[in-house]
Amino acid sequence: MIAADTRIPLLALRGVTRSFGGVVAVRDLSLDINAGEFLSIIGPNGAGKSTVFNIISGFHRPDRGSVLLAGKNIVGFRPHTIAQLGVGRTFQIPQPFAELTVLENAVVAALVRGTHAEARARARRALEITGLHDDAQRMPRALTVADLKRLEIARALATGPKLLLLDEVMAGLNPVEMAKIIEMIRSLRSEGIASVAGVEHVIAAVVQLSDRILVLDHGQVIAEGDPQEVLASRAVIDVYLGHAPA
Amino acid sequence: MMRRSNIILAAAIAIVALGVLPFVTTPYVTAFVLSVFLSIGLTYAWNLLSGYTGYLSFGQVTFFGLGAYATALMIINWHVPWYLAALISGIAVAPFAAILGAIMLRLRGPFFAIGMLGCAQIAQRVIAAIPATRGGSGLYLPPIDSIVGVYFAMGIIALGMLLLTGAIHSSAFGLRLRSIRDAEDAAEVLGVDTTRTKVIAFVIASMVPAMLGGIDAWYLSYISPSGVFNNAIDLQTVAMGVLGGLGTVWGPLVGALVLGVVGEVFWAQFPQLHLGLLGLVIALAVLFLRRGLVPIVVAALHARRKAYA
Repeated sequence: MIAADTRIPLLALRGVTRSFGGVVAVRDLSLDINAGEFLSIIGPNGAGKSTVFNIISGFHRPDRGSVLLAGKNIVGFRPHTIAQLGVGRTFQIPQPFAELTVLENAVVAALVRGTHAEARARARRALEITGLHDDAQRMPRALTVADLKRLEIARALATGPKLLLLDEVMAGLNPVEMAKIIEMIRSLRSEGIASVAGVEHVIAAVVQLSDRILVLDHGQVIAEGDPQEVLASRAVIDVYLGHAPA
Repeated sequence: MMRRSNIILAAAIAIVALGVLPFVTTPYVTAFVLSVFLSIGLTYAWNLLSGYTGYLSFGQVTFFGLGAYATALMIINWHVPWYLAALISGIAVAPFAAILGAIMLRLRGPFFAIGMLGCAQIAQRVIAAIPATRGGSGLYLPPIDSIVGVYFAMGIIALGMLLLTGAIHSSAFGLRLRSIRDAEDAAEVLGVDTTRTKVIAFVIASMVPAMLGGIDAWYLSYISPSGVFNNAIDLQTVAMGVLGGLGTVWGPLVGALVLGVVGEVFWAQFPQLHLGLLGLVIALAVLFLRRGLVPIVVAALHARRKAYA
């Protein structure tokens, strides 16, 4: 677990660059996330959001730069170690363990720390928070898309994270389902869990949760700060709507 | 569904019956049951790796062969008692299996399957090239006067693997194995040390065949590279595992029993068709019975119970 030190950011990226072949997916990216904060990374498809998530969670190693978790450089750590250190992550396309029950899905994640009994308790609590308690004994194939998104969050929560990486959790949901997930994410913040959300389309829904937003385009930060101000800025409008004629 | 007490009673009767069997029946029947024990043990070991993690190995016979040779050489050169030699062989392959597993398990899907097939081929050539094994002419062991010891050794391993699989299935280790099979990247990001988990399964799935190979060498009194590294052994194990049900506690037992009995009937009548039959069973099971017999029977029993409830 990460020591709760308020003087250093929970997560800090410093000058992170990563390219694939000749394509620079993320260029010289720096960002800070503090405990309990909600940061949204918005940007069009291919802006580098998923690469950022893959770098933080240990799937991709940055070519340059460092990833500091509570001040400790975690570059080169394997994903399961980063999970042990307190980073939980969801996948954009849900990846449930298809032959395990909903509860067992959460238990696998919860086993990252504590005894089997403690893990079961934490898994049950994660299902309660995400509203999946009644589905505990069902198989993932019996769940709706919204419930599968919730299961992604439940598993990430079951690891007991200090930082949650939410990759497009709102995509494909109707307004009612979205409202439920927004309410749930609010409740997580009150427990001091920080979140980074990657957002492509459903911007309004996520912006209302965000303390700060950061706009990525072609792997670079083009705007950062207060949600309302950033979304009103010229650069962001250009990225989303195309450049205004001169 | 049977009640728990009924299952325990049935199991107790089966164990007692199998325990007295070699003393009351013909050597032919004892030898047949012994061969089913061998299949059960091999299939459980394979299932722990391939059924539970989804890494289909077509090369665990590598360890069967290594165990056979290690045991034979210990018996011939140092007069080690056969059961001790087989046990030592099983333990001795563990570090080698850990290294090989750590390398091979980086491969996914068909590449792992093909890679393991290659391992068995390489092991066969390497063992044949070592002077102490006398290459293709094989090794002769002292003839055995009774197969009862071998019968019980194989039976204990078969039963042990059934119990081990039952203990693992819903344990933390078992859940981790199954999470790897279903979504390996998700498992890793949710804190499962996937490499370590897979390697442990691989080591168990190598130690057991090594012991069984050692016992089999003693039982047959003669081994050769083409005999103990025979891919047909793996083919039979895969067929039994797939037929019974991958990643289930009872699948290997059911698959080995069904194919063991069918195989014995066919083997006696049409020995040349044996391999073809196994291939056919794999093909049909993959086409029509992908989940295996056990899940289908369990689902049917559940449905019946619901109908009568």
